[in-house]
Amino acid sequence: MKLLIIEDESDLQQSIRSYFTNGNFVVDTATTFDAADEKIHLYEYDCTLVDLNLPDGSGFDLVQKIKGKSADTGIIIISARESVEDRVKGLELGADDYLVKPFHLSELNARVNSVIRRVKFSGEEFISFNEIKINPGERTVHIKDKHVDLTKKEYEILLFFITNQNKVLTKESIGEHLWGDFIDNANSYDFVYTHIKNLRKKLLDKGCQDYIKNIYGVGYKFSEN
Amino acid sequence: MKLLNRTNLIYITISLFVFFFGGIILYNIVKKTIDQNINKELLSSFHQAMSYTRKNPGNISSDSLLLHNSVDISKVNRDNPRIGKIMMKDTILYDKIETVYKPYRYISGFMLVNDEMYRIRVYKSLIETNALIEKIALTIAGMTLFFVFGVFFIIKIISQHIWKDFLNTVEQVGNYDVTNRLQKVNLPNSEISEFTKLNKALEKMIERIREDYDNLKEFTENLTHELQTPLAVIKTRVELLLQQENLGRENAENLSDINKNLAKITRLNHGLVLLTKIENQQFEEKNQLDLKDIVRNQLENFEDFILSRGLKVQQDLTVSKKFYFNPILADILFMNLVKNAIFHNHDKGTVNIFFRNETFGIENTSNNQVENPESMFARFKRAGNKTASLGIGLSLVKTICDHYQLDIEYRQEDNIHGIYIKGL
Repeated sequence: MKLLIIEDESDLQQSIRSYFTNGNFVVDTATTFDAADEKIHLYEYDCTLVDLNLPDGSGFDLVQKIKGKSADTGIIIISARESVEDRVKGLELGADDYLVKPFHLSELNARVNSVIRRVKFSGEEFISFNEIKINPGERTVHIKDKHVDLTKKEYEILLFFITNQNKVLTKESIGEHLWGDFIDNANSYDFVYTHIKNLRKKLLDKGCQDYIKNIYGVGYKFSEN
Repeated sequence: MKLLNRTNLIYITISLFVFFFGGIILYNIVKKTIDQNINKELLSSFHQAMSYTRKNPGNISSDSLLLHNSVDISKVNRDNPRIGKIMMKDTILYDKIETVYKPYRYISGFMLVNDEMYRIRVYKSLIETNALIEKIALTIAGMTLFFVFGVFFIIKIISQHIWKDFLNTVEQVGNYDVTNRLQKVNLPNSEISEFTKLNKALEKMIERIREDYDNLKEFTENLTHELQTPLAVIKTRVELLLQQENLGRENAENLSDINKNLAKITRLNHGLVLLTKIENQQFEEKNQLDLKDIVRNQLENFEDFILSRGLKVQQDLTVSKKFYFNPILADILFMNLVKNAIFHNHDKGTVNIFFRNETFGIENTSNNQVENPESMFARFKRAGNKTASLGIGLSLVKTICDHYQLDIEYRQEDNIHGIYIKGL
């Protein structure tokens, strides 16, 4: 998948780039409006991350340009501003999502994947990981073609894990993914733990391998070993 | 006490004193003068009577009237021990005709004529002069009152006129609200130089306050905003670090702690951004909302937590409450209240939510005791040992309530903590 990161703060840009390059993305970057404009013009991307506050222009204009050029490029706005007006404007101009800094990279990853699924595959693509098959359109999960009954939260966690496979996920990022950032993490840890415990049990019961690894003091990792 | 009232009170008191004592003095002077007049007259009549007696020793008839006074000339024994100097005395005599006693003053003296001792007395009626004194006294009293009240009203009018500019300044400054961007303060020049000086100084001060306030707001806004990006960088770097194989337990723990605290900072910052925005009137749009829907929505959000803690939620939301609210603020308000009630609870505790008598109440059981209920809404207050909990949440709640001028109260009874909002 091809990803374009338009962000003027280079440290942040690097961080994001690192994370996605280790996945299955090819990453391009731009730190100014002009540079971004050029890249958009020359290349096609599956998803673009657009920062609103660029030194030489507004991210909103870029959103319009991208939308104007191709309808199936996902656009996620990343911005330091938590403002309803901005959010609404962004979505009206054609952005697919709006993420406020600071965010978890794992969260960003989940959103990017979600947007791509929606935009490119109309949400119909299946996600599979070995014996696990997820149908995001219907929100169903099958282990070796046997249906697994998961609660909403358990489903979200599984999807989050698989999207961020082989990455260490902190308890914070999982908690925030499930409940947004209005829940104090101190309160959500127990719940995260409980939900994951239940999820693991359900998967194992259906004969699934145990991919959920516990990383002591930090969180979890979903990997094959 | 009010300025004008005090001024007037002082003036009246002084006036009363001055006119009262002045009146008394005047009265006494008048009385004395009249007295002296009477005495002079009596003396004069007495001398006339003496003259008459000297000239007509044998022809003395008492009761003869000289001038308009009664005269009484009678022979007395030379050895009468009462013989002495001239004296004047007040007395009352009985009037046979009108059958009343009337006041008189008489002068009495003795005189030797042709070897005969005569006693001469002249009487003068005091009725008329008494009446005169009475009339004068009344006039003086009347004048006193007239002057006092006259002065009072004059002073009152003058005071009001003189202090008008000052009172205007007091009113304007009293009403000044630095958070009201549109408010203009008008402190014009006055005829009285001290007031002009005062007004100029105040105007300068107000301008300074406004500037400082605006700067502070801007600074806070910028600060919170600027913090977002560096925070994002740190957060993402930590996350990347965590991806390393062979990180080691200690490193992992350290990084995890960093992450945890970053999350705290982020949340605080986020809360501060909201607070400044609310205070900056950036959430002006209002819709008519049915508050019970919002509350129910929030309860749904926290379903997971309610269930796993075994909390019992009692709702009395049947009374439909419609209110003009900004939807975002409404969400934040009730979200924080519900969150507070859920997380500051003990397992298997209860949460009680209701709309009753124009009041919204939310109560929760809790094992924590709070020392200062009044300061619950101050920023960054903590309750018990739940760190990172109250922080900004209740402060946001208070700010929103203030914004809509709703009364909010925190009460703690036994183990039940309750927050009550009046006016809904």
